[in-house]
Amino acid sequence: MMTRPTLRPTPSPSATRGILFALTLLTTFLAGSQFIQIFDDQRAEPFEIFLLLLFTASFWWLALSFWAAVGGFLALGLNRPWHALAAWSRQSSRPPARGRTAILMPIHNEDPAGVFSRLQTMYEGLQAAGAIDSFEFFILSDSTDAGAWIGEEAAWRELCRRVQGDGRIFYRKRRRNTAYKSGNIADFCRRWGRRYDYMVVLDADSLMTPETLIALVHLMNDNGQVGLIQVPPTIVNGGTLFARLQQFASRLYGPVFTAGTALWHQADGNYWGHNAIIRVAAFAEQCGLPELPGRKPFGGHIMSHDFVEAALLRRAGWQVWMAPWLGGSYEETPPTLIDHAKRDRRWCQGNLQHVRILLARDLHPISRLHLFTGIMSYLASPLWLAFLAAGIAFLAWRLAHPLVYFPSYMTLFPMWPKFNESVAIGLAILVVAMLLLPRLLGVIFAMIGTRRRAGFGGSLRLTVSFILELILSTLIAPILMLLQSGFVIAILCGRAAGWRSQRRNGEAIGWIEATLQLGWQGLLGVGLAVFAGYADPILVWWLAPLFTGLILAVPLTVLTADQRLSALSKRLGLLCTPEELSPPALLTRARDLESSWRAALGPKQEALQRLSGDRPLLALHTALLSSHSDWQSVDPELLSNARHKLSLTGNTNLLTNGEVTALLFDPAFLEGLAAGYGLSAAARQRRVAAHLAPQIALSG
Amino acid sequence: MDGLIAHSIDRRAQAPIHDLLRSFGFEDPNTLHSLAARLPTPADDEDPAGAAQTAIGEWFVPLLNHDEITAEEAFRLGRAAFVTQECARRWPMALLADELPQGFADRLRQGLPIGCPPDMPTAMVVQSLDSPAPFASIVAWFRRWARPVRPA
Repeated sequence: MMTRPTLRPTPSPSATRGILFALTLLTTFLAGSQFIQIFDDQRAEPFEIFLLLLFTASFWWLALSFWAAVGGFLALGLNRPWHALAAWSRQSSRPPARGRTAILMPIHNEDPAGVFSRLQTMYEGLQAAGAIDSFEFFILSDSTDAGAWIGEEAAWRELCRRVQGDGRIFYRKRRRNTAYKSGNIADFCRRWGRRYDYMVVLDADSLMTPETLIALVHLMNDNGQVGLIQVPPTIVNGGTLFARLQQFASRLYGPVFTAGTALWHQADGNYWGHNAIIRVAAFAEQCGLPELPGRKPFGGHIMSHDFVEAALLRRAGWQVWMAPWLGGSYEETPPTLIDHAKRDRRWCQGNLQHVRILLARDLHPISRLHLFTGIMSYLASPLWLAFLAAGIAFLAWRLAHPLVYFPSYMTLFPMWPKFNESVAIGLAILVVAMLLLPRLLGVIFAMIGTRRRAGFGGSLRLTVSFILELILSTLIAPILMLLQSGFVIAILCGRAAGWRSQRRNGEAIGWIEATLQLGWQGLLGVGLAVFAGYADPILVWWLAPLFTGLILAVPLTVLTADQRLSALSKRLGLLCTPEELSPPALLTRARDLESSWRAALGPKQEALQRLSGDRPLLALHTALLSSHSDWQSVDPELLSNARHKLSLTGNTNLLTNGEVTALLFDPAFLEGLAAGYGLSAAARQRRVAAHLAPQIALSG
Repeated sequence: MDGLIAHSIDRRAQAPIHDLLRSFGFEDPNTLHSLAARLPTPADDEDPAGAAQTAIGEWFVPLLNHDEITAEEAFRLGRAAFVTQECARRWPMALLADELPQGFADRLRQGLPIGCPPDMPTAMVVQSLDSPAPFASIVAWFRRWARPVRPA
């Protein structure tokens, strides 16, 4: 184990946590005690106890996030360095770092123009800052699509040419994407771990300023006990209304929440999987993830590896910090509600898998809380849903069994209904207030700073945007609640999610696609509205936010994916963020470069088509083979099938993606392809067949 | 060199060797013929293209300034550098030559693709995420639930 000096977190973590947990418990206790009053019973019935349990289980979670946001608001308002790492970094203005750092960009079937434009931007930024000698870049490909793989190689060649980055920008492709992203990073550590002091892990849509990258290296250099620093990313480049909503909400409310989180996490922070710097030796020593026994979704590789890696670092005594004050850290968000839901499905499975890890030996209590929080972020939906369903069921039962004021037996007094409506309304107001207040704090924080306010387009536009976001997010909330509840149920039933690349660019969603995906929610909403109207007109008002969102699920999905509406909102100055109104130079540069990359790379092509038309690329591809991980472990059956198909028919269109990929690892095939350059199609085919013949004979 | 081994490669062996040289970007039949003549005669039982690859790889090894590189690797890397730097057009007779044209070696090294740096491995120690005894029964419940289905 490495030795580390001690950095004492200030203010005392126990004090901040004590206050936070005390307030959370107190609020939950008060709300729970009020909830009991609703039924005004002498003795609680089992159904009421069930409702109480559901309510408190959902409410404490709300209370925790509410008080954390209040803490964050106070920390931001006081404008003081509110923990040791922040205090240190404010005093630092030193020139470029020492310590060798690898910037890792793990990719999986991504659009190369976006990925490589961001890489070029970061590379150029570090070059301009005079710090490039301390950094090396790795493109760690897990792409399974053969066309994407060859496209990446072409893009890597182009990037090295553009920035003269040979020997500093590396490209590695894994044959098998074992353990997904965590396996990709682990493979990097196994092969080159000793070469680097630190690694900055990115996502395919990540972008970080050179200032932030350099500051992170400084922080790591000067705080030997820190294992990981997470810089919360700001969402940018939203092209659809949905993405702009997410972007606006995260930019407006995010600072309050992240400041609150950093305040009580202190050195026991969490890792979000990207836009973070990690001490490689500590990571390699402590973060080898085991495969969980049993079948998916609870067994197998750990999907949400980031929380677990942070917990393992913390378990070994390394500090894990969150550094929101650094800024200069960006990411993108899924463009549509359906894409958001798909990503949520994957995250949901990963987080629920943490149930297996929650009680692991020697974890720090706060790490357990992070894991539990992750689980709760998805369990909260079915809990609220169960609470609502139970309430509706209770009403339905009441309808079926009308109140009897004078029972058949002798009694002096009538049996009054046991429902205290004023307490129920009070509690509902409390819940709404606890949901709204943190957002309002975000708005207040933005309003009280002249520059911040201008960043959102001024007071009026900020207020209108806030109201618009509030309405739309209220409508979207029940849709997501139902979707997430469905995910949880599917996962509990043993249905695992796959690992697909995200759609990052805005593509319109058609009415048919939206109806197929979410039409059932619309029907459910109509059913709920009819029931409420039949049961009690007052109930219509209570349930209106719920069923309105559900009824509008399909149009909301289609319209929020529409780029024209997004452009209109932008023209009106609504939902704007500081990064939209005056984009940082880094973002502008990345955007400009993306168009030049798109032109340079051309449209996506089939792998074999591309290689057949680009001799240097084919030579490069063949040369790179031996540098790829486990390149020799190609599935022999797949390769044999591909060789047979190709030598018999010569038609590459008959090959599956897996077979093409196997051929792209096959030196004999590649030599055949290279031999046929400049010849007719028939002659090329003969060359390939001639090169494959001995291999086919060998394999029998 | 040309004079010593000219005409030593028979017609049967010529086709695969010309194919191999074509992968370097040579297309002119005369150039292909001259370059093929620079290659040593393969043994009767030897694959002519394989032998040519080894010979070219060995020729590349000292040029690439690369430690501990095999002839096979040198062939692939050298060819990639040769093709990307358009050496077939710039210096058509440089391949396999004893005396290199000025600037050729530097240009070749510039074009050398470096996919990855040399390995400097470190061990990733797999950590235990087992639960201590008091909690084992709770965790066991989940394990039981997630137990793989036994095949019929």
